[in-house]
Amino acid sequence: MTESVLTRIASGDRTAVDDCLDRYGGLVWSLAKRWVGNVDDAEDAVQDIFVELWQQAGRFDPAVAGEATFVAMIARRRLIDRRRKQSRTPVMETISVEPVDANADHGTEEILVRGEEAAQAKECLGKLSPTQQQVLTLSVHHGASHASIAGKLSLPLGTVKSYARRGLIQLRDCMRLSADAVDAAGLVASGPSANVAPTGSRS
Amino acid sequence: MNSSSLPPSEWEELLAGEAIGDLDTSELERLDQEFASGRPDSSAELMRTAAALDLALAGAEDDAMPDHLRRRVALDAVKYIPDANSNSAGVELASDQQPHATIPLRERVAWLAAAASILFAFGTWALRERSGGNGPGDAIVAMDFGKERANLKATEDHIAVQWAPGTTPFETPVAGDVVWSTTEQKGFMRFVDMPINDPTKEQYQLWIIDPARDDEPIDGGVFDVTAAGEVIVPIDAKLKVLDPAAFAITIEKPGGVVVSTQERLPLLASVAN
Repeated sequence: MTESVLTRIASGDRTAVDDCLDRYGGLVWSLAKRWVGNVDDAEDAVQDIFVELWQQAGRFDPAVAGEATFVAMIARRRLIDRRRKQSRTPVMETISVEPVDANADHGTEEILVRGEEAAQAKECLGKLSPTQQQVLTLSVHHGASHASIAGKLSLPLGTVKSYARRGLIQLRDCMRLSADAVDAAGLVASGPSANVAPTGSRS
Repeated sequence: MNSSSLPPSEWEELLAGEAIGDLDTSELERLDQEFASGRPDSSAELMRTAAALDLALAGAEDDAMPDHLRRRVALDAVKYIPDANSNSAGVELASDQQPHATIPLRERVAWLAAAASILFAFGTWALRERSGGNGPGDAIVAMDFGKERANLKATEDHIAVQWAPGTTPFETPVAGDVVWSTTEQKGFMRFVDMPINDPTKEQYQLWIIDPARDDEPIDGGVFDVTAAGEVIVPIDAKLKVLDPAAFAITIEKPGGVVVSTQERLPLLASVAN
């Protein structure tokens, strides 16, 4: 298993910064560019994100989320806060509405890089309707506003809002089930002597 | 446990909207009022879901972060990550054992931090343009360069600065100085009682911190100390030095490194007024 760079950073190992930037620098930079209108602002956002990452590294718990997911979560939160403060709307011209191929197989390498949760998310996204997939992609991945998505997809504003929000809830529920299934499979594989814990809601 | 007065489906949708980042001001205020004491667990779960989806949609390929940005991020990191190997107390204690040091302690410590930060930034910037460090055979062998050093020291524009303990000082004090001429792009390091190194295991490497040129320290060459007492080593700057602010010695693997992690930085000579 790959050693957690965040754990190393939390313990004061400054040499882990290099590894962290190797591993997640591109991810954060790409995220920022998608969300922020210009390169200068994107660079500022990346600096903010990494400052928060250094500060929050100690809160990373591999039992709760994968490292890439944790980094993406911090990055998204900062980008959302930043946009809210600046009250800026995304530039739709840069947004592609290519059909989402939720079944596209990016292989084992991607799962290693992005984590199991990303693979689950992709699988679960494929279970939503094509329109919901598009709305979620534009909303979550590109940070597009409801109005922009409504214009692009010729959908009523209210529909876009509910598709995005309910779509994310559906995705979460689906991922819970996937995780439970993985846990159950693990218990079965561990043999009859394993202690079977009662299953329940994760929230 | 959620204590919200909103119907579960409604607050959950608001939390989903927050995770997506599409709440309007009134919705955000409503959410803040409902969860004034903090968001429920499902908030973090929805944020993780959105992050995982974002990762999934991004695929495996990201654009590389620009080098200058990477360097800035690495510089910031020094401010926010407590250094587990910090030994500043050791620097202060050892300062009394450096009779030749003429720079005030406070200034020296500040320079130490600044130089270490710059070095660290360089290290974490991790430009791996070159395939590796200097080959072991390229190391400068310490020998008697006393006459050349004396000549250089006689020039008008030379600078001479004393070595002081770095972030990881030697167990026993090492004295000496750096003499450098920017005009001639030439210089010498003098060490007294520098520990003899085993070149098959580790070598010394000089870094020249030159903010006038860039934030990147300049590789000043890899060298060995093969004799006890006083040794003089010529500086082998790999780039043109404009206005050196400090010279730092690190201990590296044989052949030196392109990127120093500064795990071992025993000596620093700061150019300060």
